[in-house]
Amino acid sequence: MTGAPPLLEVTDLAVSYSSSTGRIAAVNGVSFSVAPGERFGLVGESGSGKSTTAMAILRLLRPPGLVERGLVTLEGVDLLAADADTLREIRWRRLALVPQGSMNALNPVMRVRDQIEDGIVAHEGKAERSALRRRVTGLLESVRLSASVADRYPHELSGGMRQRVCIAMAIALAPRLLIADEPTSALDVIVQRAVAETLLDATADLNAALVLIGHDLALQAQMVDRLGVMRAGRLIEVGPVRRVFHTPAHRYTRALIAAVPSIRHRPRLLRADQEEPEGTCAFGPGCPDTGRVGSEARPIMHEIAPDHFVICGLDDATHATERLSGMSA
Amino acid sequence: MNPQRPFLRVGRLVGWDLRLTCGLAIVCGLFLVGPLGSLVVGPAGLHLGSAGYSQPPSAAHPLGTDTTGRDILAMVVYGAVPTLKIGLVAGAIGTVLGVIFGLVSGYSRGRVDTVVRSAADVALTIPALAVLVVLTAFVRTQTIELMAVIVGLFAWPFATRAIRAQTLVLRERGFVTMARLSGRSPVEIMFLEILPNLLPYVIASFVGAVSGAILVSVGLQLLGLGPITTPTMGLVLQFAFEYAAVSRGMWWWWVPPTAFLVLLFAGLFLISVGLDAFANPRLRRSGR
Repeated sequence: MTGAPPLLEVTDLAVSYSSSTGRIAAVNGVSFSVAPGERFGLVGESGSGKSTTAMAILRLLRPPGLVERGLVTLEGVDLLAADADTLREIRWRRLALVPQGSMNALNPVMRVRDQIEDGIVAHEGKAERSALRRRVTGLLESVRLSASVADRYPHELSGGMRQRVCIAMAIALAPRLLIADEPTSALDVIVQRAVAETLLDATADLNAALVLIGHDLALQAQMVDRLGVMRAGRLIEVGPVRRVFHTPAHRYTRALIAAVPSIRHRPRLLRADQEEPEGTCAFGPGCPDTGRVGSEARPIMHEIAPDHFVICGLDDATHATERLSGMSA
Repeated sequence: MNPQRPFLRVGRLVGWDLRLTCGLAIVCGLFLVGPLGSLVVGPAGLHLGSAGYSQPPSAAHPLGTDTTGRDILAMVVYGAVPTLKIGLVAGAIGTVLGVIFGLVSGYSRGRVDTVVRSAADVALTIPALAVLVVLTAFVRTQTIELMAVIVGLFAWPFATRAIRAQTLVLRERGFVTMARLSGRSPVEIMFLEILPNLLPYVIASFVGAVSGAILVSVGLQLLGLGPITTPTMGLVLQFAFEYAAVSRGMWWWWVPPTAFLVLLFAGLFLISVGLDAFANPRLRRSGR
């Protein structure tokens, strides 16, 4: 993590959705960075804000979703402030999305070839027909699909093939960063593995970085270098994937890892709130931030080991009381 | 299924549903009445007093003549194309307006949607015939084309609602997100990405708009508000009613145009039911 400047840097990102009952914070002060060529995983339960984070980075949020504050830079370019032309230039060329292919990311009435070519032409302008054809064939081969897939409609492909087509589209313009939003979640485990390997190979060939969003911890463990755990709009723990798995610091991370099914033993399901009472820091009573007032919006992250961060579990009120009691003692 | 042959698919679509096939056959047959009939029947019988007055069918006039001395067969043969033309032009205008309003309304949502949707809802409650009666009474020079345009301008609300509803569904689909990501403009997304998906609905709306337009135009003509210089089924019926053909027992006067219109509506209905079954798989009977 030292040396090279980060490719993607997300600082204090907050996103909310407005509803009839007021604003609901979906992402609340999330910060992380991704180095060039690095594979970063983002896990969390449904509604934890991982997909919203991805949509905010890609600037694909639509009302009622709104970026409240924060800074997202890709190679130094401020994405949240970028105008339409800059976005057009950056998206796909430098920053691409691998969507959930089974979730109809392909237009059902267009042939695969036309969809891939449209993306290329939209960014590079008109090109010679035969050159485009060769490129599409090459892209399909790089995701281990036969060239004949180009002339098919999405409904003629299996879920795994559709997902490969989505990967082919994402890598068409050799982006620096791929964001994959649950790319394998609707596939069976065998196909899942094959598609995951294809995705890894494709990013490795391009030397591109990957942000992998999902809730499958086992898959993440195999695919990423660093892992971030999200819960209720917050990034609660970030660290090298091995460290997070072997020595998880946050009780929620522990519960999440304990919930991964194993063939050998079947642990009782653990709910995060059963293990430790709310308002407990990973450091326990020795929380170094006792006495420092974090804010609800900008929680404090402790670095408990090199590059391994965990959110301070003490809420503002506790911090404040402990500070007061500390002062009076 | 071979993706290289789109014609096979059209064939499959047509052969797939018996109702659709019958409907298309009937409507195509009615389209042929004009061109084929004019090979046999000359336009001479269209003029007032050119044939005998109120004659029942005979060898010279197979469908008889009316009280103003016109040949009914000639009126039907030469009135077929203009009748269909009113329906097609009005239906096309209504459908094009409906597709544009529906796509823009459904895709942009927000204020634009509120305005278009409210306008369509209000327009749906206004009886088009009543407004058209007033409107056509004001327009002095009546032609087939003008009437088609006026009727067509009132045919958009149904199409708008249908297209808007489907656009609302499709705009949330992944491929729309991907198209936005690839930098396509809203207009490109609406017309190049979403519209092709709506083709069955567009065709169904068009068929509905055509039959609605023909019904309205015949209604206007029965009230004596249509063009009287071009023969149409509505015009024949207008005169038949004016001269009390029904109570005088002159069945040959009003039955042929009525039969033409009934067949036309039946054909259009079969097409729209057949298309519905295609666009909405839930209506398909099991085992097909």
